[in-house]
Amino acid sequence: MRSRLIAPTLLAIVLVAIASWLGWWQFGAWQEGRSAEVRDLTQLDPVPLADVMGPDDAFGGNDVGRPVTIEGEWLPEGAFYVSGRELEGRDGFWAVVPLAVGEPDDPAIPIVLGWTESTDAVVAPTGRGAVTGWLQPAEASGAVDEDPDDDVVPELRTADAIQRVDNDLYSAYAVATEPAAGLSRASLDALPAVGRFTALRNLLYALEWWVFGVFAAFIWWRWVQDGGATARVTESPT
Amino acid sequence: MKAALLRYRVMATVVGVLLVVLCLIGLPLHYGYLLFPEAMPQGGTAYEIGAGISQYLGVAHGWLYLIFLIVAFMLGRRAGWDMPFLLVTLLCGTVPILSFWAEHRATQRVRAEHAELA
Repeated sequence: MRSRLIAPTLLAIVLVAIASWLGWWQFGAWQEGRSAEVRDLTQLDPVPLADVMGPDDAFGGNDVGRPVTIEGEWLPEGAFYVSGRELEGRDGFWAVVPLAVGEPDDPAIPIVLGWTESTDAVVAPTGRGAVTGWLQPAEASGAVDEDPDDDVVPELRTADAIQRVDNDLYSAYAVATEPAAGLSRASLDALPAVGRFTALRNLLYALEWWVFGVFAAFIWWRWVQDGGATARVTESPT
Repeated sequence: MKAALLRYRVMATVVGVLLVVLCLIGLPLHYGYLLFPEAMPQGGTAYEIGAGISQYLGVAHGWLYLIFLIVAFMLGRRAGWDMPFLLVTLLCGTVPILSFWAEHRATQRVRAEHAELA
């Protein structure tokens, strides 16, 4: 007598599962949309680096891509290249030169001056300098440097950069908004495209799907209750 | 029962009209560029109107449909509908145009089975 419960119960489970899944999907889209919005700071007005972070601060997650102005002393002896950087589908390098923030002995921040197809013919700036750049967290994906003796590294890692200068380093780097002469502007790796969706809509849809799921479960529950009541009445002696 | 039927009919009509606007006007305007990229370009007037309809009416319709589900369910229980009839009535609320037929069908049934309402 329980067998007639099977099909509706399966249907209810499938409906609840679908609604839950669609809700999660929308919830994920909502989170993505939000983080994209949080990260898209690149159009803001630049602020002095000191207003965003100090030399010993951990990188704040809310500051990825924020334009900052940095003034100080170039450290051309610490210049290096980061390999495997694409620009419009072409493989190339980032030209990086540390900039001591303030005086020559102050902590430095690596500046991506631009993108280049080869590692020759790039002149590192010297003396006093001022840069506007998009702030990015230092990289740490664990890529292996195949030739530790040259000036080419696979990623912009503080541990690598610090061996090239005597200064302390920020746990960040900056991508110059205006590339140096002879270079192309480097694109921001840590910046996803801005989500096309209004994030709130996704959240509302997520909640809605879950309410649908609850409603399907509720209908199923009422149905089982009704069925039980009918069965009791039917089975009782007349 | 009379109030439950009225609630159901109001919600079915509102949701049905919104669904027609959403699916038969909003979506073609919004995604027309896929078929006619020149006549209805992305970012054009038609596209913007369609995007607005999807964005605002879409969310509104979703929540109104939930209310529709609840009032339809309450009517179904009062009127003693069997589960298949109830499910068809609920599901037809998601199909443009067909939702009006489902509302008509449900109203007819309630009136036929409950003479005091006719």
